[in-house]
Amino acid sequence: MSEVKTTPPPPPAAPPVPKEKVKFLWNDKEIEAKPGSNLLKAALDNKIEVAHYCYHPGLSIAGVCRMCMVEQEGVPRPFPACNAVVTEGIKVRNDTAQIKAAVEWTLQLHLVNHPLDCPICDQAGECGLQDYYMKHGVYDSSMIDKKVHKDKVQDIGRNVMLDAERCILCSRCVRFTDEVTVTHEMGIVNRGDHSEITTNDSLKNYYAQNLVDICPVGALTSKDFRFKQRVWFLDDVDTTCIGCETGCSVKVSFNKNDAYRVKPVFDAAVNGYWMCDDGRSVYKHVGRADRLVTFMENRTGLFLPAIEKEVVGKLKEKKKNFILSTDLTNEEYAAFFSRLKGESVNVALYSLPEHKLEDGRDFDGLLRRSNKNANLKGAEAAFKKAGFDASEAALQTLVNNLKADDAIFIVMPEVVYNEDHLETLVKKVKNAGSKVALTSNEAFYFMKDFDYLLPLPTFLEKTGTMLNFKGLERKLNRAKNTWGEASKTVASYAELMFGE
Amino acid sequence: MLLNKDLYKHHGYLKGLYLALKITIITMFKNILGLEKRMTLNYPEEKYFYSDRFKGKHVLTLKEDGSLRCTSCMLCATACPADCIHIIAADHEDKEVEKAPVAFEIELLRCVFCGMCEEACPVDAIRLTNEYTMSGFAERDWLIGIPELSQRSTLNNGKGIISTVDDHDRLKIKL
Repeated sequence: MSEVKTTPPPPPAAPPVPKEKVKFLWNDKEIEAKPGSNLLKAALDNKIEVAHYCYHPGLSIAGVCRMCMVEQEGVPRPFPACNAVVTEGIKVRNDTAQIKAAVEWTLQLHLVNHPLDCPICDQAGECGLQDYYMKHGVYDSSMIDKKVHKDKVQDIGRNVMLDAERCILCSRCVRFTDEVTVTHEMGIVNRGDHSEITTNDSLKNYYAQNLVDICPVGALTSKDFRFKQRVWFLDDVDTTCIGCETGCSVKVSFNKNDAYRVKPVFDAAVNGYWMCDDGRSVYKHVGRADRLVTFMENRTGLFLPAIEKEVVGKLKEKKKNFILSTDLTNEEYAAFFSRLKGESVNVALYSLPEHKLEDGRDFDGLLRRSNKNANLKGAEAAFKKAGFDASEAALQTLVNNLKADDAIFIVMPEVVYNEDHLETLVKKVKNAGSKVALTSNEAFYFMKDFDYLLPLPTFLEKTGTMLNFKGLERKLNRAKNTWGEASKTVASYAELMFGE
Repeated sequence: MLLNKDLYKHHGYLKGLYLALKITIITMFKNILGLEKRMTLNYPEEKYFYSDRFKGKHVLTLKEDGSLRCTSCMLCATACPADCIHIIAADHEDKEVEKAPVAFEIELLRCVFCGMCEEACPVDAIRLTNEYTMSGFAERDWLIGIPELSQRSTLNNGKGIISTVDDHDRLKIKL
């Protein structure tokens, strides 16, 4: 038998190198995007306005709102863009008469049972329904049936208010609790036009305020912000949260002199689209009525406004010791230490104690961390550069060596999680002759032992950088308004004490 | 026109004076005897009433149950060019109402009586009345709150003005 001649199989063709970017046409406009990426996201990233409710870049695709319908050349029927991918050379349109009619009718169906109570709804002004109604709305309703009424004003826990009537069932909140927090608290129950979102018991996760942000209509609103302001009065300032070492990018909303809310800003490197509930209240001390805004002197238990010159004159002769907090900016540390050069002075760093999460962990896998020092990395670097010791031991030595002719300046942390821990520090410095607290917060009860209270600006009143837990530089932006007379930083106090 | 220059031209000074005084005296007697309507009025005792379209002192209308119609949506405060409307909103115990003002203040000295608030209001809660007499010494007299705005004595003897644009009616209107 002769051997069967087998021809060797042809070498496999080299797989096509995936292209970095492909081009396609959206309404005749050429767009570049990664092949296989989301079609709707590619359009939105290129500043094309496409109506959508259920699509959120941080969540999975649901395709339930049917607002982002598009037509593609060679595809027989319209389809939602959020559930399609980008491929090379496709020709997509959403400006044809067919698509416009589809969006109009979809919007009308969304509004069939919507109560239209915009005057009392907190979402008015940033509401998806309002925005698209102005663009795609059919102004005359063709319904003769009465609207289906559902339960209003439900407090579902964690400062979230639910109004089931306003909901358009986009299921963003359901997907958020399923995918991001994995707590599965929200769900859609019942059928047809009686469908509504509800919770199994009440919200228990620590990211619940994100539900308010992602809700495209006014169904989920914040209890904290409820009825305080209309959103069109507010101006946003992008800054960084100082609640913990994560350093999420946030925007703070202002009206005139007051801050009203904190919302996350997308930052791929740190927080993505979310932020935790603790960070939402980080602005609260800024506009407080009892916030320190003038120099105060302790006159046998009663704190009275003092004159700057007199206070400086009394403290100037004494030997100075400083305890800094960990939430100052890198620039403030640098300016402070550069002013201290050549002076005999002791400096230590008070870092906030670990504040364990509810389940005893240090990090919950998403954003919350037990280390609440906003700029510990930056402070340590600044101390090292200036030749000071930032360790806990150095703080203890400084406190133990205080004498009667010493003056101690303590920079109070801006956000205090553990008052007892701070109180023990304050009690330990009793030996010092003059005790001075520099605070941007309210006066705590244990500050009655201090001789002087001096104001500092808060994180919303200064521009600078901080280093978060990864060592990433985070930027603080000064809001356009400041509060009271608290404009002196630690560096300007050092200048007052050591200057002419 | 009593001061007619032609009168002097045609008749000379003295005769002109005589003719003018004649008209004055005749009108005086007519007024005294009540034969002609007087052009003036005895102001504080008698008052002139403007039509309801006059833009005078503000009023907050009431619902049939006597509560404020205002939902504190702040559209009037947004539309106000003088920035004189200050509203503090709060939760209402009735879930159907949901939102109501706890404070509604208008700075009358700042107000320019343009009527934009009236036009902006979606629920007919604020109106400008034909009341034009306003007086006061201290600045606080000019900062008027909810009781003064809704139930002052000049509005149906303190009962206030009830707006007919009711919640039920609103649903009937074809938007």
